[in-house]
Amino acid sequence: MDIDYLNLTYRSMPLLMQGAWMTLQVLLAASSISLCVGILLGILTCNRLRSNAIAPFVEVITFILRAVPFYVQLLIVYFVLPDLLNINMEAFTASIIALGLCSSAYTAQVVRCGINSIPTEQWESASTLGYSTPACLRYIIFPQMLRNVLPAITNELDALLKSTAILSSIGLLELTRMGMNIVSREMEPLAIYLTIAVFYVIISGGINLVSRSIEKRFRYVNS
Amino acid sequence: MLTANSISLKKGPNKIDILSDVTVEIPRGSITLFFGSSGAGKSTLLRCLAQLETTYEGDIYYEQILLKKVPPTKRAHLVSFISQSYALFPHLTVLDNCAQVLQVTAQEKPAIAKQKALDNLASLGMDGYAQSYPHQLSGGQKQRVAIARALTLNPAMLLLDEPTSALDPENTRILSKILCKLRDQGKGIVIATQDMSFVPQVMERAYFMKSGSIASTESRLAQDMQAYASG
Repeated sequence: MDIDYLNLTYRSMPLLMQGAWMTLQVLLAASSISLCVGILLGILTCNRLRSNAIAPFVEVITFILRAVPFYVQLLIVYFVLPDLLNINMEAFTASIIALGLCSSAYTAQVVRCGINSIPTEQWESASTLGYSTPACLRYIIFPQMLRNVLPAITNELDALLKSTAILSSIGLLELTRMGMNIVSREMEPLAIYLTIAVFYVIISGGINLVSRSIEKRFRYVNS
Repeated sequence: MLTANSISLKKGPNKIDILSDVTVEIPRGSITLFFGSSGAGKSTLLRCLAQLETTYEGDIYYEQILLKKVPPTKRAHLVSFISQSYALFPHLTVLDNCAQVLQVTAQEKPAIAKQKALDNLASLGMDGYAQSYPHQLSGGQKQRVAIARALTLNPAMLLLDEPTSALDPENTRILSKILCKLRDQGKGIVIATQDMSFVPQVMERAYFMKSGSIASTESRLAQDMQAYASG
């Protein structure tokens, strides 16, 4: 019995690896969108730089993205958006857009709070020393903010990874979907679903390792 | 010469007067003190001079240059400000705190910026702490690093807000010597303080402030100082 399980797992490994690769690609692309858009939105809404013309609009957008379930957002991006814009959209593209935008709303909140947590004196000190606002953000605020928000960003990336399983609902051949296909063919869920779980743990472990190593680089206080 | 003409500032929802009609002239090569009790407007005046407050009425000039219209990159060469908390950048070493300013603001090459920063730190006896982080320094050492960092761009005027508030008498004496040396080099030093033990060590020109205005004319200054010191 055990040997059967091992045998099935071994035979399924190429397909599961394909699924894991797809999951990784989506994760990398979506997390890039999430970080870029999230940082931009976080800057636009932080106390120090918020403008009354833009910030309320951004806040409404991020609120909507956080209020609507990711599954619904995915269905809208995959089924409704192409109709509205009269374009063809592949499942891969729709997945990246939906996942990236949904996650960016949460990242924006984390970044906004991170920037707000930096004492005003740091901004003022940089200003009197001649730093422009972009230079101040780049050299003074971001390095300090990153140290504060890294655990929250890691959590968000973990959540992003788990959300990729929902992409199976639009037929994207990512890890979970690939596993479901194998199970429906082999009628043996135990070995496959456990293997899938191990894959997710390994990917999540990688994210956490990278996060820890970055955290160590920024451990300048009480180190 | 740093000149403030009729500076007034209101703040808060009730538009309370923080500064009203303050006019001062601060020459280079001198130490000018603003003293008075908490809430007198000393720090706010310094923040206006450093352009950290920009909603004031009136004009502030360095020589003939209206400071409000000067971009931060150029203003940093004219006026530098050190806050009460020193506001060193905690993620950078002492050396990088000073060198980065030159790299970012003056576009200096890293090697040259580091050498200049190291020279500045050495002049204040802090070169031995170049690789330390701010949290590893004492209050007096942080103060000296903050001064070294402010001096990296060689500003004409140096503004210090309550510089002795966290210093013991020994460090206060060291600070006085440093400030006198900078004055002798031609810098204009402006200090807001309520530390009456520090005032005699550096006083040359002083303004006594009360309720957001200059309360003392030169003839009444000694009298007001004595009254303030005796509580």
